Amino acid sequence: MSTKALTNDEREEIEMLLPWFVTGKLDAADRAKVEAAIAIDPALRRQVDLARDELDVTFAANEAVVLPRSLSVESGMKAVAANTSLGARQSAGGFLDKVRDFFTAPTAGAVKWAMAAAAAIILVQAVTIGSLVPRQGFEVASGGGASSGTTAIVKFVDGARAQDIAAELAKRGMVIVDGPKPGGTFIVRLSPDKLSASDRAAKISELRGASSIVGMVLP
Amino acid sequence: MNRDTLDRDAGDRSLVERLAKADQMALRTLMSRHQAKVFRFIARRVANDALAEELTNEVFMDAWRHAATYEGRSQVSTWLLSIAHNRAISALRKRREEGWDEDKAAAIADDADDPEVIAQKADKSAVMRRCLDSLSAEHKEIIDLVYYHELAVAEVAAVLSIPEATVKTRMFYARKKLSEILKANGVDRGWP
Repeated sequence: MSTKALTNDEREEIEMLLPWFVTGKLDAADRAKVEAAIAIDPALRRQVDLARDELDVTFAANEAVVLPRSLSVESGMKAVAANTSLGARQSAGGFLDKVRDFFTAPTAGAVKWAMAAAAAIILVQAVTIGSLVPRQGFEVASGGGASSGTTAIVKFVDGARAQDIAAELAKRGMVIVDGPKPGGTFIVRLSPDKLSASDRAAKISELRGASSIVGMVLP
Repeated sequence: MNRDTLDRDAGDRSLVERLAKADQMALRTLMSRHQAKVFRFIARRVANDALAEELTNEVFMDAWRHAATYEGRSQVSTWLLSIAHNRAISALRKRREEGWDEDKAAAIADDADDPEVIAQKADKSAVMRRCLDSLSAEHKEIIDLVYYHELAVAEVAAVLSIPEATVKTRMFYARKKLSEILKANGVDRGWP
């Protein structure tokens, strides 16, 4: 695409691609086309920001859908067993298979680490696991932390190291109280107290400042 | 598609292969990976938690039954969402035939204007969320698939069984409609 102004048709074509541009789901050719267009058109750059706003709000709206207590892998397995031939054959797999699946699930480094940490914490509860992972920055899942204080939804950057996450959160008096959620997000308690809107915004801004570990923070 | 997504999908494909051999542990793992996202997708479509849970279970029943026919043309997550979409459409059709009043259902799902909601309305992102939720089911669904489930154009086309060009135009008009609703609620985004 040249540096001259876009025609209406060219602009509309680019506008249609913007949602996938912000989610990183365009192929190289389309991505280059969008990048060239926004480089010469400030209005399109503004539209990229609008699409990012939409992405944030859609993510928050979906994460706000509360999963029913009755929804679980166990209940799902029972439902499938009641309606299919599931119970007819015994699997050759056992607990070790489950553990293998869990730990070999290929995810971003930080998420995989945190999944391991969360699983370990849930499994051993109050048993010391200091030799495996740093406790600082995490809270036992059954401690009721997720339901009290002020929390935010956080996605850590790919490749963030466990120790760095723990240290950065602890530095700010924050703690992971739940996760990983689908999409690799976590619930982080910003404060044990119920904060005012302005204090909450300040805490979120402070957390966003830790850009070496934090990819996204949603209220 | 980035390396992480590729690896994850390879893991999912291996699970489906094991599903086809009636491996229960593979079903458990597949469920633990995708159950919440499938539930959220359906719940936002049917606006009824009990029905959404029932349909979520049916999605995994279908996956169990039909794993052997999975051809690997799409990612496993896309395949599951495609099943979920079809299940939701059938359930909504059945509900309409049974005389379920969807407007009444939406009204039930909607919050009353209590003081907390009024306070929330002052917050721009809360206004945006409410406006997003007030879109038509078709528009809300495509926005969820693109932004939350992070599907590419071709993947959305596969889930909804529509051409790729229609995916782009439907998404475009969904975003335009969102802007219009926002404007009517005092948030002018300056577009379109």
